[in-house]
Amino acid sequence: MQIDARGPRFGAAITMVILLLVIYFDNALLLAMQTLVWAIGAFAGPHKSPYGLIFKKLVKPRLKSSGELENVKPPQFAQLVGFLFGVVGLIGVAIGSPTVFLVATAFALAAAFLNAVFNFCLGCEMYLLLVRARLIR
Amino acid sequence: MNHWLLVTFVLAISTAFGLYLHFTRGKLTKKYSNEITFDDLNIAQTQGKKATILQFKTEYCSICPGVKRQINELIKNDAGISFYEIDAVERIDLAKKLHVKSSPTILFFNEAGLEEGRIIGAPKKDHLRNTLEKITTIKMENTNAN
Repeated sequence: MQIDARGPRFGAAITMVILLLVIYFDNALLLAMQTLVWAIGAFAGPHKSPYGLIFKKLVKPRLKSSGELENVKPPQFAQLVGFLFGVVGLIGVAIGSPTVFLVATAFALAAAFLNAVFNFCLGCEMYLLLVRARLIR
Repeated sequence: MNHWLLVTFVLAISTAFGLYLHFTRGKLTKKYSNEITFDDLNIAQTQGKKATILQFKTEYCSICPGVKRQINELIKNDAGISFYEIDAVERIDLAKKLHVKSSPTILFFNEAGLEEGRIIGAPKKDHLRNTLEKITTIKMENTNAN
Protein backbone atom coordinates (compact mmCIF):
# COMPACT_ATOMS: atom_id res chain seq x y z
CA MET A 1 0.00 0.00 0.00
CA GLN A 2 1.14 3.52 -0.86
CA ILE A 3 0.47 6.64 1.20
CA ASP A 4 1.18 10.34 0.74
CA ALA A 5 4.72 10.83 2.08
CA ARG A 6 3.76 14.18 3.61
CA GLY A 7 1.22 12.58 5.94
CA PRO A 8 3.68 10.98 8.38
CA ARG A 9 5.67 14.20 8.50
CA PHE A 10 2.53 16.11 9.42
CA GLY A 11 1.85 13.52 12.12
CA ALA A 12 5.40 13.94 13.39
CA ALA A 13 4.86 17.68 13.77
CA ILE A 14 1.80 17.15 15.93
CA THR A 15 3.60 14.43 17.87
CA MET A 16 6.50 16.76 18.52
CA VAL A 17 4.18 19.35 20.08
CA ILE A 18 2.38 16.73 22.14
CA LEU A 19 5.64 15.31 23.48
CA LEU A 20 6.91 18.76 24.40
CA LEU A 21 3.74 19.19 26.43
CA VAL A 22 4.20 15.73 27.96
CA ILE A 23 7.67 16.68 29.17
CA TYR A 24 6.77 20.20 30.28
CA PHE A 25 3.68 19.18 32.24
CA ASP A 26 4.95 15.74 33.29
CA ASN A 27 1.67 14.50 31.92
CA ALA A 28 1.38 10.71 31.77
CA LEU A 29 -2.19 10.88 30.47
CA LEU A 30 -1.07 12.85 27.44
CA LEU A 31 1.69 10.32 26.85
CA ALA A 32 -0.86 7.53 27.10
CA MET A 33 -3.04 9.24 24.50
CA GLN A 34 -0.04 9.69 22.21
CA THR A 35 0.90 6.04 22.73
CA LEU A 36 -2.61 5.09 21.65
CA VAL A 37 -2.20 7.16 18.50
CA TRP A 38 1.09 5.37 17.81
CA ALA A 39 -0.61 2.03 18.39
CA ILE A 40 -3.26 2.80 15.80
CA GLY A 41 -0.56 3.92 13.39
CA ALA A 42 1.54 0.83 14.06
CA PHE A 43 -1.20 -1.78 13.77
CA ALA A 44 -3.70 -0.19 11.39
CA GLY A 45 -1.37 2.07 9.44
CA PRO A 46 -0.34 5.73 9.86
CA HIS A 47 -3.06 6.78 7.44
CA LYS A 48 -5.66 5.37 9.85
CA SER A 49 -4.34 7.19 12.93
CA PRO A 50 -6.04 10.42 14.07
CA TYR A 51 -3.18 12.53 12.69
CA GLY A 52 -3.33 10.67 9.39
CA LEU A 53 -7.05 11.26 9.11
CA ILE A 54 -6.63 14.97 9.94
CA PHE A 55 -4.00 15.21 7.22
CA LYS A 56 -6.19 13.44 4.71
CA LYS A 57 -9.37 15.38 5.40
CA LEU A 58 -8.14 18.84 6.32
CA VAL A 59 -4.56 19.37 5.17
CA LYS A 60 -4.04 17.47 1.96
CA PRO A 61 -6.99 19.04 0.08
CA ARG A 62 -5.43 22.44 0.74
CA LEU A 63 -1.99 21.55 -0.56
CA LYS A 64 -1.24 22.73 -4.06
CA SER A 65 0.84 19.87 -5.32
CA SER A 66 0.31 16.16 -5.08
CA GLY A 67 3.05 14.59 -3.02
CA GLU A 68 5.14 11.55 -3.73
CA LEU A 69 3.68 8.28 -2.62
CA GLU A 70 5.62 5.97 -0.37
CA ASN A 71 5.25 2.42 0.79
CA VAL A 72 3.39 2.36 4.09
CA LYS A 73 5.70 -0.17 5.74
CA PRO A 74 8.59 2.09 6.82
CA PRO A 75 6.41 4.82 8.40
CA GLN A 76 4.22 2.13 9.93
CA PHE A 77 7.32 0.62 11.50
CA ALA A 78 8.27 4.09 12.72
CA GLN A 79 4.91 4.26 14.48
CA LEU A 80 5.71 0.93 16.12
CA VAL A 81 9.01 2.34 17.38
CA GLY A 82 7.15 5.34 18.78
CA PHE A 83 4.62 3.02 20.39
CA LEU A 84 7.40 1.08 22.08
CA PHE A 85 8.94 4.29 23.42
CA GLY A 86 5.51 5.30 24.67
CA VAL A 87 5.04 1.98 26.42
CA VAL A 88 8.46 2.28 28.06
CA GLY A 89 7.57 5.79 29.22
CA LEU A 90 4.31 4.58 30.70
CA ILE A 91 6.09 1.71 32.42
CA GLY A 92 8.31 4.38 33.93
CA VAL A 93 5.23 6.07 35.32
CA ALA A 94 3.83 2.79 36.60
CA ILE A 95 7.01 1.89 38.48
CA GLY A 96 7.49 5.40 39.79
CA SER A 97 10.57 6.23 37.75
CA PRO A 98 10.38 9.76 36.33
CA THR A 99 13.76 9.22 34.68
CA VAL A 100 12.48 6.34 32.55
CA PHE A 101 9.38 8.36 31.72
CA LEU A 102 11.37 11.41 30.65
CA VAL A 103 14.16 9.62 28.79
CA ALA A 104 11.75 7.49 26.77
CA THR A 105 9.68 10.56 25.92
CA ALA A 106 12.82 12.51 25.03
CA PHE A 107 13.93 9.83 22.55
CA ALA A 108 10.53 9.88 20.92
CA LEU A 109 10.65 13.67 20.84
CA ALA A 110 14.02 13.59 19.06
CA ALA A 111 12.67 11.24 16.40
CA ALA A 112 9.51 13.33 15.89
CA PHE A 113 11.58 16.51 15.70
CA LEU A 114 13.93 15.08 13.08
CA ASN A 115 11.01 13.98 10.96
CA ALA A 116 9.00 17.16 11.31
CA VAL A 117 11.85 19.63 10.82
CA PHE A 118 14.38 17.79 8.66
CA ASN A 119 12.13 15.22 6.97
CA PHE A 120 14.33 12.46 8.37
CA CYS A 121 12.33 9.47 9.58
CA LEU A 122 14.48 7.59 12.05
CA GLY A 123 12.09 4.66 12.31
CA CYS A 124 11.92 4.40 8.53
CA GLU A 125 15.71 4.25 8.34
CA MET A 126 15.73 1.50 10.97
CA TYR A 127 13.22 -0.44 8.88
CA LEU A 128 15.41 -0.11 5.79
CA LEU A 129 18.44 -1.33 7.70
CA LEU A 130 16.48 -4.37 8.84
CA VAL A 131 15.34 -5.04 5.26
CA ARG A 132 18.90 -4.77 3.98
CA ALA A 133 20.06 -7.11 6.75
CA ARG A 134 17.29 -9.48 5.56
CA LEU A 135 15.86 -9.53 9.07
CA ILE A 136 12.47 -8.43 7.77
CA ARG A 137 10.93 -8.63 4.33
CA MET B 1 15.58 16.58 36.55
CA ASN B 2 15.24 19.98 34.93
CA HIS B 3 12.77 19.32 32.15
CA TRP B 4 13.70 22.25 29.98
CA LEU B 5 17.35 21.33 30.22
CA LEU B 6 16.49 17.87 28.93
CA VAL B 7 14.35 19.28 26.12
CA THR B 8 17.07 21.75 25.16
CA PHE B 9 19.68 19.02 25.13
CA VAL B 10 17.54 16.68 23.03
CA LEU B 11 16.60 19.36 20.54
CA ALA B 12 20.19 20.61 20.32
CA ILE B 13 21.53 17.15 19.52
CA SER B 14 18.71 16.52 17.04
CA THR B 15 19.27 19.87 15.38
CA ALA B 16 22.99 19.21 15.05
CA PHE B 17 22.30 15.85 13.46
CA GLY B 18 19.61 17.30 11.22
CA LEU B 19 21.91 20.06 10.03
CA TYR B 20 24.64 17.52 9.38
CA LEU B 21 22.22 15.60 7.14
CA HIS B 22 21.05 18.79 5.49
CA PHE B 23 24.55 19.91 4.56
CA THR B 24 25.92 16.54 3.51
CA ARG B 25 23.02 15.01 1.62
CA GLY B 26 21.96 15.96 -1.84
CA LYS B 27 25.35 17.29 -2.81
CA LEU B 28 28.13 15.77 -4.83
CA THR B 29 30.57 14.04 -2.53
CA LYS B 30 33.90 12.63 -3.45
CA LYS B 31 34.14 9.17 -4.88
CA TYR B 32 34.50 6.39 -2.40
CA SER B 33 37.22 4.50 -4.18
CA ASN B 34 39.75 5.03 -6.94
CA GLU B 35 39.89 1.33 -7.60
CA ILE B 36 36.40 0.35 -8.63
CA THR B 37 35.48 1.03 -12.24
CA PHE B 38 32.23 0.52 -14.05
CA ASP B 39 33.64 -2.58 -15.74
CA ASP B 40 34.48 -4.09 -12.36
CA LEU B 41 30.79 -4.17 -11.53
CA ASN B 42 30.19 -6.91 -14.13
CA ILE B 43 26.63 -5.83 -14.77
CA ALA B 44 24.64 -6.30 -17.92
CA GLN B 45 24.19 -2.57 -18.49
CA THR B 46 26.40 -0.83 -21.01
CA GLN B 47 28.66 2.03 -20.03
CA GLY B 48 27.72 5.40 -21.54
CA LYS B 49 30.06 6.98 -24.09
CA LYS B 50 30.32 10.24 -22.13
CA ALA B 51 29.09 9.30 -18.67
CA THR B 52 27.13 6.69 -16.78
CA ILE B 53 24.77 7.32 -13.92
CA LEU B 54 23.76 4.59 -11.50
CA GLN B 55 20.94 5.28 -9.08
CA PHE B 56 20.53 2.88 -6.22
CA LYS B 57 16.95 2.73 -5.03
CA THR B 58 14.84 0.56 -2.78
CA GLU B 59 11.20 -0.39 -2.86
CA TYR B 60 10.59 1.88 0.13
CA CYS B 61 12.34 4.96 -1.16
CA SER B 62 9.62 7.56 -1.70
CA ILE B 63 11.86 10.16 -3.31
CA CYS B 64 13.59 7.77 -5.71
CA PRO B 65 10.94 7.96 -8.47
CA GLY B 66 11.19 11.75 -8.45
CA VAL B 67 14.97 11.63 -8.66
CA LYS B 68 14.73 9.15 -11.53
CA ARG B 69 12.36 11.47 -13.39
CA GLN B 70 14.72 14.38 -12.75
CA ILE B 71 17.68 12.52 -14.18
CA ASN B 72 15.76 11.21 -17.18
CA GLU B 73 14.55 14.73 -17.96
CA LEU B 74 18.07 16.07 -17.74
CA ILE B 75 19.71 13.52 -20.05
CA LYS B 76 16.86 12.89 -22.45
CA ASN B 77 18.60 14.67 -25.32
CA ASP B 78 22.03 13.21 -24.76
CA ALA B 79 22.48 9.67 -26.00
CA GLY B 80 26.03 9.59 -24.71
CA ILE B 81 24.92 9.48 -21.08
CA SER B 82 23.52 6.19 -19.81
CA PHE B 83 21.35 5.97 -16.73
CA TYR B 84 20.43 2.84 -14.83
CA GLU B 85 18.44 2.23 -11.70
CA ILE B 86 19.49 -0.59 -9.42
CA ASP B 87 17.57 -2.03 -6.50
CA ALA B 88 19.93 -1.92 -3.53
CA VAL B 89 18.24 -4.88 -1.83
CA GLU B 90 18.08 -7.16 -4.87
CA ARG B 91 21.65 -6.29 -5.76
CA ILE B 92 23.03 -6.01 -2.28
CA ASP B 93 26.31 -7.37 -3.64
CA LEU B 94 26.69 -4.28 -5.81
CA ALA B 95 25.59 -1.98 -3.03
CA LYS B 96 28.27 -3.44 -0.76
CA LYS B 97 30.92 -3.31 -3.46
CA LEU B 98 30.18 0.37 -4.07
CA HIS B 99 29.66 1.14 -0.37
CA VAL B 100 26.11 2.30 -0.91
CA LYS B 101 24.35 2.58 2.41
CA SER B 102 21.17 4.51 1.69
CA SER B 103 18.80 5.33 -1.11
CA PRO B 104 18.78 7.16 -3.30
CA THR B 105 22.49 7.13 -3.94
CA ILE B 106 23.47 8.36 -7.38
CA LEU B 107 26.91 7.45 -8.68
CA PHE B 108 28.54 9.23 -11.59
CA PHE B 109 31.05 7.43 -13.78
CA ASN B 110 33.05 9.30 -16.40
CA GLU B 111 33.75 8.14 -19.95
CA ALA B 112 36.67 6.07 -18.68
CA GLY B 113 34.37 4.22 -16.30
CA LEU B 114 35.88 5.78 -13.18
CA GLU B 115 33.65 7.08 -10.42
CA GLU B 116 33.70 10.85 -10.32
CA GLY B 117 31.58 11.17 -7.21
CA ARG B 118 28.18 10.46 -5.78
CA ILE B 119 25.11 12.17 -4.44
CA ILE B 120 23.40 10.67 -1.41
CA GLY B 121 19.77 11.62 -0.92
CA ALA B 122 17.61 13.86 -3.05
CA PRO B 123 19.91 16.04 -5.17
CA LYS B 124 19.95 19.72 -4.31
CA LYS B 125 18.61 21.97 -7.00
CA ASP B 126 20.98 22.24 -9.96
CA HIS B 127 23.45 19.80 -8.42
CA LEU B 128 22.59 17.09 -10.88
CA ARG B 129 22.98 19.38 -13.85
CA ASN B 130 26.20 20.91 -12.51
CA THR B 131 27.66 17.48 -11.83
CA LEU B 132 26.90 16.23 -15.31
CA GLU B 133 28.28 19.37 -16.86
CA LYS B 134 31.43 18.95 -14.87
CA ILE B 135 31.86 15.31 -15.86
CA THR B 136 30.94 15.67 -19.51
CA THR B 137 32.15 19.29 -19.92
CA ILE B 138 29.01 19.88 -21.89
CA LYS B 139 26.37 22.45 -21.05
CA MET B 140 23.22 20.62 -20.04
CA GLU B 141 19.77 21.77 -21.09
CA ASN B 142 18.13 23.84 -18.37
CA THR B 143 15.17 22.02 -16.92
CA ASN B 144 12.62 22.78 -14.25
CA ALA B 145 11.87 19.11 -13.62
CA ASN B 146 11.61 18.31 -9.91
